[in-house]
Amino acid sequence: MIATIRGKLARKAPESVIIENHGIGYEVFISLNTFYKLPGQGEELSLLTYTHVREDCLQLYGFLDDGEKKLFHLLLGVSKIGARLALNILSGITPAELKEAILSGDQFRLSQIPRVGRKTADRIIVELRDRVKDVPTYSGVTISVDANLRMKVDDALEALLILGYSKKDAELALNKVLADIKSSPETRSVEELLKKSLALLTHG
Amino acid sequence: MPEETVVEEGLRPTVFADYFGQTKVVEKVRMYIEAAKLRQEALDHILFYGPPGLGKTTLAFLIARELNVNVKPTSGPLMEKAGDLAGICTSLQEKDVFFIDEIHRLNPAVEEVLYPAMEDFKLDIIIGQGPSARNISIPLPRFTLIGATTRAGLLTSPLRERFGIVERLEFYNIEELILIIKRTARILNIALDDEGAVEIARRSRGTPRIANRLVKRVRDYAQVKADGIITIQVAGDALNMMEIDQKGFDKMDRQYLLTIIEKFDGGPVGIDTISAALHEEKDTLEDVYEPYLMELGFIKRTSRGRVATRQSFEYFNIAPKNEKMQGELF
Repeated sequence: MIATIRGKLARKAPESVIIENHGIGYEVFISLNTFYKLPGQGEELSLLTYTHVREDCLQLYGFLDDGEKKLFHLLLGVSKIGARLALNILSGITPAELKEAILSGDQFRLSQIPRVGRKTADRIIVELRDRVKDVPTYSGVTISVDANLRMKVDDALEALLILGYSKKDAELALNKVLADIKSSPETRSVEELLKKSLALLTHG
Repeated sequence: MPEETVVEEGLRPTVFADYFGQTKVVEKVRMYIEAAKLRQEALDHILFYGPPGLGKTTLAFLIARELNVNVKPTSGPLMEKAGDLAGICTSLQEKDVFFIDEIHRLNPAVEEVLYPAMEDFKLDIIIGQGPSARNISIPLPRFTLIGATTRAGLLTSPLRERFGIVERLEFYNIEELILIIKRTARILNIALDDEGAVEIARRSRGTPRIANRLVKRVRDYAQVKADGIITIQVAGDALNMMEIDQKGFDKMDRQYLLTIIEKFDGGPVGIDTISAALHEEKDTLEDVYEPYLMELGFIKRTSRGRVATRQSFEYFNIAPKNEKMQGELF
């Protein structure tokens, strides 16, 4: 099984990317969540992958973080959900929201995702409620970062929640800050992450 | 932005030379500014309190201008969560002025974050719980917080104690109001003679905001009912039409006094009872109407409630039923 792939982002589209590695271009199917966080074309990219084997083809599904990959895996285990529908679900909801919806039994939220009916939503809740608890969704801050920075991001998120911001707004701001990190590597402390997030939240 | 607001902003003095009145306060503040400049330090935090419309906000902006720094204005009710305050604090530059109007209406959660910001110039946020709890501390530039309030009594003592400079703004005298009225007339291109200015000043309740409002309304009257020039006659007629009497009392002032005198035999009567009788918010009565009535000695606040003084009875030519006061009168 191919578990990760690293290379140059040769082409990106909302449903798939082509990653070039040693002269070979691998097509990797992705969710919209992952698509929105991709770097620019031609840049280096590392994806966690799931190798889906069918009798007529072999497909790669890519994820920027472990949480999304685990949820994809769990969704495949739900009866009547295949790889394409699982990816479609992850395109219609963030991993953190999906986990929350399953845990709280929010059938309405799940059935709002295109191609997910009431029955499918019920099956997802019933079959995964006890299994999603341990899935790390990184509080919805889903940009792929190293473990050391991840701890700081989680601290910054907690601080923003204490300051009274909603989870959604705080995550949105941190995602924007993390997207800019490449261009400003000094944003490596909790304090800096917090200051930059506050600036975004205050002045938009 | 409504025209009135634009005009009011245009009337705000932008230099101390145009700021009339509050002589002692201005003198002290200018000295503090000078000292801070000499030491190349941020000015101490300042609290201005007093009735509405006396120039607290104007003074805050003047201080920032005199210090040649930016001013970040907000108001207590606008800062709903601690993050709103943190966002402004982290965007401040060294020596900037952070102005909070209606500071007495700050959310307690916001106030907690403000304490270390004022005292140690840092934001302290404790995350985690129990043994794993840790503190995130964001250093802030040394800034000047200027708070303005109409209700200094509602400020918590920890907040009040963190202000290095506390100044009360007083009602203006007639001479000061005349200068303000003439300046306003000049800015708005209004023809106004000296006696007209005196007449408006006398009925402005010692408050520049009211004086400016009356100038604009008397101008309307002068343009429609007279030849556009505000004389003592025109000013008097216009103000009488607006039901503003010689003391500057409007309909609500008179209703307030008559309620105490006629319905409650001159008092004492509680503010909640007066509020219910007048169908007016208690806060409005306490902030807007009572300060001026007390300043003129028309009412007294006692532990048992509000009492109309002898002056109030004389003003309405009513003989007090209260024997003690009759003795005072006759």
